[in-house]
Amino acid sequence: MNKATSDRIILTIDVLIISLFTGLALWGALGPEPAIDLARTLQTSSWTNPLGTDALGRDLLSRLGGVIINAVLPVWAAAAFGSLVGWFMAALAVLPISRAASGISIVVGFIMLIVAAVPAGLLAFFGAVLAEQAGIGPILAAIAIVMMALAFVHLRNLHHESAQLGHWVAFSALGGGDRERLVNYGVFGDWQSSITDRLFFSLRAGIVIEASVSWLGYGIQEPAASFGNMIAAHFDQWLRGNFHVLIVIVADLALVTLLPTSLVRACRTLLRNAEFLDRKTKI
Amino acid sequence: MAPLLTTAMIIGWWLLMVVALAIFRFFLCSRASDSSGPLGNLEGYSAHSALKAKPLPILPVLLLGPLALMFAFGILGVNLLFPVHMTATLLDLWFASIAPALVLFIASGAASRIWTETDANYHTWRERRFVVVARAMGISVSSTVFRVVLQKSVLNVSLATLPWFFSELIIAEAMFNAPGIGLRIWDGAKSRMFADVVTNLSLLVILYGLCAFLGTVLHRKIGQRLEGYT
Repeated sequence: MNKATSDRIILTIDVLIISLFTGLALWGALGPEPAIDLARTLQTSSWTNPLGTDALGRDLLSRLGGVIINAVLPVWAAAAFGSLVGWFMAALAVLPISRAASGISIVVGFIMLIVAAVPAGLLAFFGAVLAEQAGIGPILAAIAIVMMALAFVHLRNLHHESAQLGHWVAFSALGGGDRERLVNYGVFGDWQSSITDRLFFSLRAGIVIEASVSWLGYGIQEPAASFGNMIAAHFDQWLRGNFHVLIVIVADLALVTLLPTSLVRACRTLLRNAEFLDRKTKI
Repeated sequence: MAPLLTTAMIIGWWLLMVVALAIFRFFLCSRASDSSGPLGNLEGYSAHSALKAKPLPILPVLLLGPLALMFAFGILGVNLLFPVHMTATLLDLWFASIAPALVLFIASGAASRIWTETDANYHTWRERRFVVVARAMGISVSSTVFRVVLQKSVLNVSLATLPWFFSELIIAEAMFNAPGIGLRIWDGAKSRMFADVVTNLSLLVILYGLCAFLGTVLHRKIGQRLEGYT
């Protein structure tokens, strides 16, 4: 199989994952609220319930759509916000301003380094236990804090590595400003790919953390839907040989976990193809 | 003491898996490169710096755990839950620790990262001058770089994946009913015994700190030693 064919197959899979996610999110936002129907518990696929029903007879499709709205989107927003704040703070920290400011940036950098090493799941769980009530708030806060620290350390490391590069040194020697260098050569230059990867990693990590804490009985709890509490509610089903509900939930969790990677890969493939076509037209 | 032992067994298996996969990958790399000429392929070399910036390929234990349980129970007829009955021996628990360790091994991104890291390290180190000298003296590349590549790869990957390993340890222990520190924390949280939660969480944090500290010290020691390798 040549590269073009394999690229096309991967792009098709990525587009399929993105479309499935979008459809699920739209269904969660616009579809009907899942109602309890104890006469129709743990049913497999049918026209009325395409993905079957859960242990309380609720439509799984609507429940999973609800997960996107209740859990996935807020977690992504928190992770993205934390990452953006972290990058912004790192950008300020690496720019030489004044002596006092550079002292503060060293202290902030040290704190960020420690926070970045903290296992995010433990921090989120501890936050949720301290809050002593169900809710996504402590988890979102933990995700935002850890992702901010990780983004801070990430951008500082990128700057540290790039500052040694020849064209950075040359730009500086010719009188170029630090901010221009950071923006033009870094954020909108060589770091783009690394920053995108890091952002999508934080989205994936956020989902992992939220699902884990909800599974442990904190975070989002019934009647609101989350991957964690849905798996927890149906976890004993596998012991009875009833795998259907668990497989549907786990498949959807896999879809959401894979989505950030698929999204960035699809964008890169499309951009590469567009660039190739553009070059071909010019020739 | 018993919870600490169970958690330590899971960590031990996890580390063993990292080392085993690194050795296997090293073996594959050395076989592939030996047949590709004196310089080998430089893909791994150029990929090494890019690899450092790549985020970890983590997966949720909530995704892999149920799949492992369902697959083992439904297809192989094996129950992967821990045997926590009165007659369970230490050996039973030791064998039962393999499943959560394997799930954590994949979920923390260690499996994927050790594969690429060993490959990149192998190709980086085989181009060094001391390897060329060793080759000129008739010593094989593999035996010259084996220890360096293995130490570097295992330490880099362990340090990078340790936070995610500990992040998901509670879930893995709770899912596989492993009577470790993570399960104690969960039990304490469920029954609102906050003193228990704080005690066990502190124990887990100390364990994490110890692992991270040991890893960092070893990393520094090896780094200092490798500075002399040109």
